[in-house]
Amino acid sequence: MSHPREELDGLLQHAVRLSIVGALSAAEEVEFGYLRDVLSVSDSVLSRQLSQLEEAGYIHIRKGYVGKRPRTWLSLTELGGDVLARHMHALQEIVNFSGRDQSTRLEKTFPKQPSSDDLIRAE
Amino acid sequence: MQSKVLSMTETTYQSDPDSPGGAGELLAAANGAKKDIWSDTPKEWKVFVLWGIWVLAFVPPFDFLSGNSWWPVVWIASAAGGVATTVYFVSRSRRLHWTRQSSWRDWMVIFIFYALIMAAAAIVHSHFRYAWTTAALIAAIPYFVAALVIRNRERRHVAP
Repeated sequence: MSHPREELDGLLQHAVRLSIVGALSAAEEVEFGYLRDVLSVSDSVLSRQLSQLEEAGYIHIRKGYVGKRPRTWLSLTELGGDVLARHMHALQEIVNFSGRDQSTRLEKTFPKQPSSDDLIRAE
Repeated sequence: MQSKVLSMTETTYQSDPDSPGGAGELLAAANGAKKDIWSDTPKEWKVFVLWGIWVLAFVPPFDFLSGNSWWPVVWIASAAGGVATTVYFVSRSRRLHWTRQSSWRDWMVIFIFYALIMAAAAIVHSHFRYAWTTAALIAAIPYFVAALVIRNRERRHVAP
């Protein structure tokens, strides 16, 4: 059985990038400044991560206007959505996997002791 | 509004996804960001519920009050409701565009049904004592049904 880590996406192993695509999955388009505030990052940090995600084809960046003010709108591409789903599933599997692994290790270290009823029955 | 999961002021913030703790942190970060955006997304089903309540609150009094005194109240309340609905959607759309779960056709169909029921009530109210109350109960049903359908769609497709 392969380890779920093999399903992880390299680009999404960065918390900011993962949070960006996670946030974009909740809406059709999100405005740049609003996303920056939600993620508590600076403009430059967000811009840098967005460029990498756009280059990989995970997000789409659109320049638009609200009234006369220029706005940058961000959206998740189909590819980005698929990659995010796989990545999140793999992360969840790692969490579950370690849970299973830990209980197996615990059983080996502390094998189940026979109860007093079992001992009486054995006699 | 800000994600309580982690504050990402550093450019190099990176968890080890291979460790269960790191994977858990990353999961929490992504889910936290998604929830933050989701909480700011307008909930269309709530608007339908409020309009259903509006119908139940403002139509039945026609059975007990004179139309001349109650009509102005209804007009003001409907105008206020229309403005509030528009402001709710427009103000949110400045920051994000959401996947709409209802279309203008849904609104039109429900409004036409409402108008027909009100017209019927206006015709029969002189023969039937609780015509307006009955009309309100019937006219409100589509609003609540639509709210239920939209809420289920949101939960299935978008909600974190």
